[in-house]
Amino acid sequence: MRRKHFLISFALTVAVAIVAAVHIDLRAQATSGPQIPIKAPQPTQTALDEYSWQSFIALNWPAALDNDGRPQRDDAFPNGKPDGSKTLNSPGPRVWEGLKADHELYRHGGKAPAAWNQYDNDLPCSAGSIDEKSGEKILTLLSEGTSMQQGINQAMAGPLIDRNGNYVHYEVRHNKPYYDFVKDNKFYLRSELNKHRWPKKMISLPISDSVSTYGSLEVKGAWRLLDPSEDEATANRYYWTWARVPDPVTGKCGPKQRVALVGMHVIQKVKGFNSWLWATFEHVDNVPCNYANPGHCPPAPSHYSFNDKGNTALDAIAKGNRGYAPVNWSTGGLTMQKWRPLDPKRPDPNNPATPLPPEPIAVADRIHAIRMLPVRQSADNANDRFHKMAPVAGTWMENYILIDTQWPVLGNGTVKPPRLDVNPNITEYDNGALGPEPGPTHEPDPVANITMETYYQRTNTRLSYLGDSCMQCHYSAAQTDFSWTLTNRAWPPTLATKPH
Amino acid sequence: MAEHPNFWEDVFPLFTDTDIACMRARNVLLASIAWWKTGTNFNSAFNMVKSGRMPLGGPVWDPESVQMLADWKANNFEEGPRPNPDE
Repeated sequence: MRRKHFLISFALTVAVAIVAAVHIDLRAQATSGPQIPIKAPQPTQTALDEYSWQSFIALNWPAALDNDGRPQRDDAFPNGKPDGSKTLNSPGPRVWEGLKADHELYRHGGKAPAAWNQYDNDLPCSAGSIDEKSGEKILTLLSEGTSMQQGINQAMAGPLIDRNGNYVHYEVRHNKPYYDFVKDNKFYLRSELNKHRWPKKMISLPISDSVSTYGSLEVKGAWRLLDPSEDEATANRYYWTWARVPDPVTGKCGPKQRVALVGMHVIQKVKGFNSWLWATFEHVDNVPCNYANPGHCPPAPSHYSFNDKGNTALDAIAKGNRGYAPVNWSTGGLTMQKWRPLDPKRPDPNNPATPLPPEPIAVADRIHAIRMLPVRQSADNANDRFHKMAPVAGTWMENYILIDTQWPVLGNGTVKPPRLDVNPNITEYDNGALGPEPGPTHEPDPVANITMETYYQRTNTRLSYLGDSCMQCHYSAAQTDFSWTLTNRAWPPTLATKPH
Repeated sequence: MAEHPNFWEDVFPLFTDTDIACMRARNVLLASIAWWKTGTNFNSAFNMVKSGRMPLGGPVWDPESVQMLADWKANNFEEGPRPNPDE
């Protein structure tokens, strides 16, 4: 009798566990599709990591295309219009590639941006008749007047050079609420932006209502060139597309090349998270696996994009140097440290004859990076779960991992931008950014994407206020609602120089 | 160009928020009048912009802007009307 009771009890327990597991999977499947959930997630790491994955899936869904083969821009789809008839593995531009590129919002001469649902025909690089069609993505972060963000420099840092000797390129795009807010308030003009400079009130970009209205969203993508020697099997491990890459020195559009997505930031202003949600993803072949649960590591590829596999000498240097090697440039006579931004238009002041090193960059200057800290358990669990289920399983997307979601624990509070007339301190950041997690008073782990914060896996003591996470770096731009793009790209770039 | 430049109307706008944030981490407080008045701070920063070493990445300041900065010092670091935090 006791044995019978035990068996019934055991069977019931197993049944409940199966039902619960299926329920979790079905719930996730039901909400992982071509659109970001409108409902705000719960303020827990697990829920937010799930929301990050749902956002990544939606933004990387194949886009509905117009007659020219470009992603459709439709007022009814503020985060981009997906093609619901396609699957995640279908070819073609992604939804996020139809969002407005930064060069469309910040136009030369401060020209008014076009309406959200239109394409302007301005080219961000000088060339012949190139249109920004699906097959002709143009990768640039050209800033007018300044070359600090020349599409190859990372934010507040130098370029990342892959193991093939090519620069990694970056692009930034914005959704309709963000774009319209900047356009309608003319914040693309420095004269208007300056009306909100410290110590005046900060700018507040639109936030979602969790019912029917999306908030501001910004996406930053990192691309590496696919070398012609790389086979199709390697290429198909990535989301890849064709792009024209401007020459960093001349600014001219180069020939069409295949580029592979190696990293992506997704930041969103969602109800209850007044200092934004910050999610960051990477491709698993960037650097050797380092997860909280090593059992989740995929098989190692034959080559990593940013790590000379098996080079223990470089590993040792990287471990002692915030996760990257070499420390300094070794070619071209450059005396600069690797982390410092390269200025193609103005040579190193310590060595004025030095040009921007041309591709392919010498082997000794290619970056060897390691992941200093394991991907946290929470993100690791989310990756494992999403990789195994539809719509991700069996697609290129299962080769991408969430590195982390950073969020404000006190997200309903009021953001307090930093004072600019005193030295920065950690308490100011912690309070002003509404209790970042990870952060100073919560789990103090750094958050860094190897492809975009290569040189900030640990705090750079030369620029310590930037810290080692998304929110700490962007807190210094809290006056413009954490947007460095806004303050860096407004026209003209500075009032200390006549615009030209 | 202002004949008697002051900080808030003439000098502060010459620096971007990025300039100020970058230098703030190095104890160079471009948004603080008190900092400018202290020791050799003015000369250090002035020489940086005059030589084109600041801002990093350019663009190099126009001579008129460099002169404005020099004139501000000559005008005894006039503060001018401080922006209203409630605006």
